[in-house]
Amino acid sequence: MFDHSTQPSGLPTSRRQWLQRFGMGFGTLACSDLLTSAAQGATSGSSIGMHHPARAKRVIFLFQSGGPSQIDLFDHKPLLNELHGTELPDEVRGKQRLTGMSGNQATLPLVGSPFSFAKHGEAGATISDLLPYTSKVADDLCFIKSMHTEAINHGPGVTFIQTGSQFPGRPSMGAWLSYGLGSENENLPAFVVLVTKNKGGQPLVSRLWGSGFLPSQHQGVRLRSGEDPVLYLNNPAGIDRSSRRAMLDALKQLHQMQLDAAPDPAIESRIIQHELAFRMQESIPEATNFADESEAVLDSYGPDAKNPGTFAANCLLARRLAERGVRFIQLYHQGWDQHGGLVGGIKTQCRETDQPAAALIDDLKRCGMLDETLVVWAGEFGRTNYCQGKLSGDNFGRDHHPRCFTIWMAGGGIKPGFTYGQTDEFSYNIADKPVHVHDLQATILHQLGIDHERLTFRYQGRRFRLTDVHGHVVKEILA
Amino acid sequence: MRQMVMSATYRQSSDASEEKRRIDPENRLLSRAPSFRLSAEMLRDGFLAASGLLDRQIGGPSVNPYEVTESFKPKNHDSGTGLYRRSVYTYWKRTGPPPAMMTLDASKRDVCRLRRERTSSPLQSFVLMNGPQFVEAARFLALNAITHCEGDGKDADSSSVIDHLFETLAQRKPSESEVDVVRKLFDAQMVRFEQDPASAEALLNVGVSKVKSNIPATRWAAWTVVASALMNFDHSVMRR
Repeated sequence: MFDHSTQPSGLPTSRRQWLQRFGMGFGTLACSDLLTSAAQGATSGSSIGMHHPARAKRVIFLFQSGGPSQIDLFDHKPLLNELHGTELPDEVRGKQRLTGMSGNQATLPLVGSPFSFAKHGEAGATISDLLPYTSKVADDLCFIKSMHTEAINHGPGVTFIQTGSQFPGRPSMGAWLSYGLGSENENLPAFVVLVTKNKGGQPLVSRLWGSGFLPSQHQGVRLRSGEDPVLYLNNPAGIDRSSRRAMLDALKQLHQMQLDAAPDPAIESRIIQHELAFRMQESIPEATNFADESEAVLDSYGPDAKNPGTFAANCLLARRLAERGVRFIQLYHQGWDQHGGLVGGIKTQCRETDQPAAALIDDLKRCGMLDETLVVWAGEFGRTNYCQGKLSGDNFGRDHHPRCFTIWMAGGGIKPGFTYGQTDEFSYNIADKPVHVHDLQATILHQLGIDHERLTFRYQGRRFRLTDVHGHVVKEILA
Repeated sequence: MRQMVMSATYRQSSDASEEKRRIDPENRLLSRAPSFRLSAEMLRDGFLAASGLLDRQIGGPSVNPYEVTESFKPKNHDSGTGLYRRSVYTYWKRTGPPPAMMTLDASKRDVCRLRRERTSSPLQSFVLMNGPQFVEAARFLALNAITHCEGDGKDADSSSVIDHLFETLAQRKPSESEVDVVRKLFDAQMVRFEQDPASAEALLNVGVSKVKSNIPATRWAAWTVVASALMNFDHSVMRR
């Protein structure tokens, strides 16, 4: 792994040299793994894990963009209904900064959730009636009610949960995994992104699935719902598959002659990439075409499943990509940013996402893949227990709230039917077992067999990692 | 400067034996000339120049080439010279930068980058072989090569067209065996397009630039396929 040629003894002589080797060693390790697997056209099995045995082979991240209201979905607080309309007590708020949107309000009246809650499954997870389908799979889920983040606005918030930093420029989680573990299927990208179509709300930006300073082959590949799922996937008009084959064969012969004259790994790599592209022209349409799915499966995801680009279709596509060995499948569903008109807004969101997300869990189970696939459902932060704007009857909104929010995880060696951490009676502060965004990231990497402190990349003079210098694996939620 | 560029070190070839690569994998000892894939801008601008489509005007507002329609924040592409200006003039939206340039490792321009990575991925093959910018460039490159070799009005001899394509793209003459490979590709494509003239027309319709020519569509299309293949040849995309 180390290059000893410039140092015949092979032993680093100074601390600096040692650190340099050490630092570069990991970069080289990850890279060389990838190159070998690409060069051999083989799949890199990951059950061994990079640093310890892996519990999960891949991740499906159902990102709920905008900040879903924990108070109306999972974090039931009867006290808020009792105190409905009264002022948020100063001692609860403490020194929490508010956004510019509600920070200058004269009053901050508490709002109880208008939705009813019940306990579901044998484990008795509390879920509101907005999520009837999720309720049915509650025993497969692990709820973390004590998530907290540092960001109070969407841009930094989403960037933080995706990259471990509030500032743009770091690699996304999927890019780290592509870099660290490579792909299980060389005919598909390791990191795929699916964005629900026709959703507004807080904008998403393509750098969220960028590779930052990692080589750009690790950036997320967004599959679009149109003709060309991948940028320029299809041959131009007038060129069919046999014609493309002939063109590639000629190109390969030219490259082979060149290789014979002067060996160069760059040329070998070019041949491999052209061939891989040729295979992807078949493997991608094969993965995105639902023709071989049974009606029963399609029905389970709900009526949207046959409408490409919807959350339902993307959830089903996620399962198909997971089956085919895609390492990290990132879904985005926008529209959870209910500053006003929460009741109507959140109902729409739940109608679009509840059934497909629950169906995905069931479907993964049916295929025997849930234990090796880690599913994460999370937004970038939670929402306030007080009303943004004027509280009038059922018409209210909630502002951004970084101090606590609820997420769930399933499969991939996470304890099913389990609830971890809790908030105070106001769902404002965390009362027990806080989980920071970096802890979540450390835990996800851990399940994939990666020590989050050891997956690093050297850039601008220092080694970077997803969790920066923070993060602790949440051992209590591991099965 | 003169001393530098005339030095033996500077004038080395980038070809390296396996032994050289083993002893000096990162070329820290300057045992060979560096070789690397050309940048997104160099590739696009270079192929536009080779095809004669490049608009050489200097300065002016940003333009929208074909790829902006495929951006994460799509917008319509231009219809005139805006499609053919140098890449430095390409409209840039940081939340949805030009996707073909992204695939070819251009910087997103959202944060400072000290150096660009140079990667090789199958997605780059899609851009260079299927992207309308490059297919159109191949079309015009083929046309120019045929026209250039038809000084006397006869059908151009295929080896002279191949010579011309090689010289334009790889800055060298092809070897005999290279000519053989390329000629076989051309012949096979000719057969195919003659059997299916509609697909020749379809290929020649990629891109908005139209030009009247007496060259038969089948021949032009077959040379377009050859040009496209050669645009993806190592010597066209690498600095060596």
